[in-house]
Amino acid sequence: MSRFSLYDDEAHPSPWQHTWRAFKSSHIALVGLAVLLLFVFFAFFAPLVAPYNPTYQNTEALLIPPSWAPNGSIAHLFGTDALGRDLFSRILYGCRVTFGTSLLVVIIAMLVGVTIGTIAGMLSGVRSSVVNHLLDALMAIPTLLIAIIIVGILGSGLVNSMWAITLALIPQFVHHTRSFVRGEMKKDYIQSSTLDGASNLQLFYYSILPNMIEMLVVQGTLALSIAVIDISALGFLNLGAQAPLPELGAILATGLDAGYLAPWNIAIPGVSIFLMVLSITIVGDGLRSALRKRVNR
Amino acid sequence: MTKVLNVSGLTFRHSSKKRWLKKPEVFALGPIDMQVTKGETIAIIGQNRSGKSLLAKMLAGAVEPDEGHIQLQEERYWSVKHRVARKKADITGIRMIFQHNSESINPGITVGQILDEPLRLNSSMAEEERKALIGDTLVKVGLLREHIYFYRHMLSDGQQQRVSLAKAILPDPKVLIADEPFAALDPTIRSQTVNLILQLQKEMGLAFIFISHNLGIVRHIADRVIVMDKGQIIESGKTETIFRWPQHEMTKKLVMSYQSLIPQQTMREPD
Amino acid sequence: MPLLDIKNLTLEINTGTQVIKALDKINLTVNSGEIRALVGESGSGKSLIVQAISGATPPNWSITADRMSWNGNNLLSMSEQKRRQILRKDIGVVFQHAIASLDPSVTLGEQLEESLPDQLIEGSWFWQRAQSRRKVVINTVHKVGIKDHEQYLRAYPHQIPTDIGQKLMLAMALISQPKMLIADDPTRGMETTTKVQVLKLLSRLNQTRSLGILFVSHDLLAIASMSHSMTVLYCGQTVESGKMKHIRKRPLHPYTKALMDSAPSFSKDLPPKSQLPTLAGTIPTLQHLPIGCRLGPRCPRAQRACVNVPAVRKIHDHSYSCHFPLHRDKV
Repeated sequence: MSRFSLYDDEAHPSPWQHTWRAFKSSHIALVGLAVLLLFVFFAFFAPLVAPYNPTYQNTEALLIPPSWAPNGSIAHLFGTDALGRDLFSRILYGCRVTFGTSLLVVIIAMLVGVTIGTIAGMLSGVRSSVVNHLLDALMAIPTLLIAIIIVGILGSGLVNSMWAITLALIPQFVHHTRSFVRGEMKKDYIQSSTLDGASNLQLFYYSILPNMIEMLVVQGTLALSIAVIDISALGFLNLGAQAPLPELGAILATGLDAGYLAPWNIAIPGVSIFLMVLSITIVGDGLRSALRKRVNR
Repeated sequence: MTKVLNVSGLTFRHSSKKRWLKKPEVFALGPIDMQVTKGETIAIIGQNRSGKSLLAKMLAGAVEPDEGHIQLQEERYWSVKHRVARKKADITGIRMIFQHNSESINPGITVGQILDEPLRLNSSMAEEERKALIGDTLVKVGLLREHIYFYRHMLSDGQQQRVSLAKAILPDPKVLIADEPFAALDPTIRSQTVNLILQLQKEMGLAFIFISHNLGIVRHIADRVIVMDKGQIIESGKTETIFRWPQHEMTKKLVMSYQSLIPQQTMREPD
Repeated sequence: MPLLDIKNLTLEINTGTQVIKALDKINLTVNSGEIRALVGESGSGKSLIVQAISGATPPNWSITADRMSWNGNNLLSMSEQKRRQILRKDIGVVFQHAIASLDPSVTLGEQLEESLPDQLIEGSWFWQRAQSRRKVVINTVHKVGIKDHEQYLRAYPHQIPTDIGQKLMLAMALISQPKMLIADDPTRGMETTTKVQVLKLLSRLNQTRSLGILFVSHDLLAIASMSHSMTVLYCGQTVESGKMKHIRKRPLHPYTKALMDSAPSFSKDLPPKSQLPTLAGTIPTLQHLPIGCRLGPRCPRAQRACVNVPAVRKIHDHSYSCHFPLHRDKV
């Protein structure tokens, strides 16, 4: 048989292309992805798109309703708040802060959590059990509460609230990674790789990680939605982002004062937070079924 | 008749006292002595819990024996516990295939990556060379070169068995160890696998040690048979000798129950 | 009158994208006191037949048959309840890996007592009934060859060895005194000594109680030693059927021959360490079934005529379905 193979370069999609194809087949997932990409776009390009400076106070344009109401004007798409700041620009910048910091928080928590979890999963013995049980105990406390406690110790402010939420999210990454790695280590194919001479690091990178991605996607999206809600919650409670930094929760809080007169100041930030979490969840779900289809057709 | 494998005094000890926070080891195996010549097929038979799987794992290097050592050609063969010694020695001389093939193939990576692993870790070949060798090995076991892009779930049982075989023979080993390789296969696929192994043995001079309950296959392909019970080798010898003139009680029991299933043989137990 | 009589059973599965004929005109009969072996590899549809008989089929399956009757009563037109009754009382089923099909949290004695139908217990007060339940269970357990019942009836499923577990599953199936037993690969993965015990037990039960047995397996050694007759299945089609000794002596279908060849114990003059005669290729998946005779792509004797499903022909009770059977020369 000749070495020349007619079919060699024809369509052999890489794993990511397989996943993308499976993902595309669900229309809901694509809609969710579109919304999520919109938020990502705002996170990066808010300064270019926002019509006004979010902290600019126009005393002549107080509490103007959004453009679709009879009194509204197109100059302020979503209206203004009690201090005359354009709500649309504030929302754009707010998305930037909320979404951007959530993303950062989750990435750091994932890196730290997965590292600790993998080490704990590969080693066996008393030490790993103790670490595991302590962290599991921490998981019983709601993340928001842990975050508030940490902020109480460190003081309020956006950076401190970021640290707080990162620390609150680490235990669940550790827990899931550890149980996953432990389960994998018992499997025959890992044993055969060990017989081939793979070190623990090589085992992790080549053999365990490809199987772990599905779990990481699930946990990651879960953590991202928790992070968004927690950062907004801390902002709302004035423990996180401090005025005048626009952050969706903080915007919601300031909108509360004039709530009856100008409900759009509460509704619109609320809807943004809702859409953000919804799109994250939908995309996470779509990714998970796409990954499962790739492995399990 | 070059001797390829020399096992002496292999022991696995049973420790009854409970060490702090560790479970007691419950099985005592050995001491085991064995010699294997090039191209020979040895079958290990015995009842369940007689230590066959443990012996296979020790021979492959997955379990560290408490005493004794394994000699592959001239060098000593180390188990996984001796990482440093293994780095310098040749660890690809003895390869193992497991019972459940779907468990022994990683579902998250392609066949190409699975086969690349032993080469990447144990040889200094360039990527092009590795790819060529993988393609050749796939053809040798009866698959196509294009199978390097496949995942485990795209392959049938028989094909998964061939992938495990390919992974085992890639680094050109001297000894292949298999723990019940035919148990989970359908009859026609089993015949194909047996034929494949016989052919590979002829081509590569591979010694094959396997555990099986299927005494029909054992009688057909094994040169020698080792019978184990309660962790000891109770009898060993040429296949026909064991099947026609079994000496030990346990061997007699095994052979007679096998003969009773074949109506034309004369040794049938009265009901 | 045969106990189980199935003629031209066709099972179609509607997967939404296509309709797959998983079983294509299957013929199967089990007479009283007969051990019939149902031989087929994975993908042959053996377990589908068991499901079709029991009636537990998902809605996207459609079953049609010329005849599918139990003791003369048509199974297809029966009501759900009557069918379940028949299954409970007259047909016993034994599966592979006994221990996995038992409830892990209940002792074996309790499970056995639970599976006893009410009609077989005497006594009108509940303590009498409990006692009689226990008595019947102990009796049945003795009949399957377990001597010290005390120890095993008190144990949980994970504590008993495989052969005892399999015998207990048999006891559970026999407790309602069925007329027929369906054994779905009961000796899979067992070592030879255990296998021989279970097979001897089945033989004995068949002889003493005239119990019909449908033994589903692909272990030819086990089947050849105790079955009276055999039906060979390939990919949902019956390829050969007849008395065991006729088929052993002279298999007519190439697939049957290939199966016989896969057990080297049956061939007397095979030189040791020689290549076994085998069929090339793999078993087709349900989505890619060949048209006509499904062995076509793999069969060494296949010709153009094999794109049509061959008709069933008989030679003295030995029926086969092949265009170019082995007793005719290749055209």
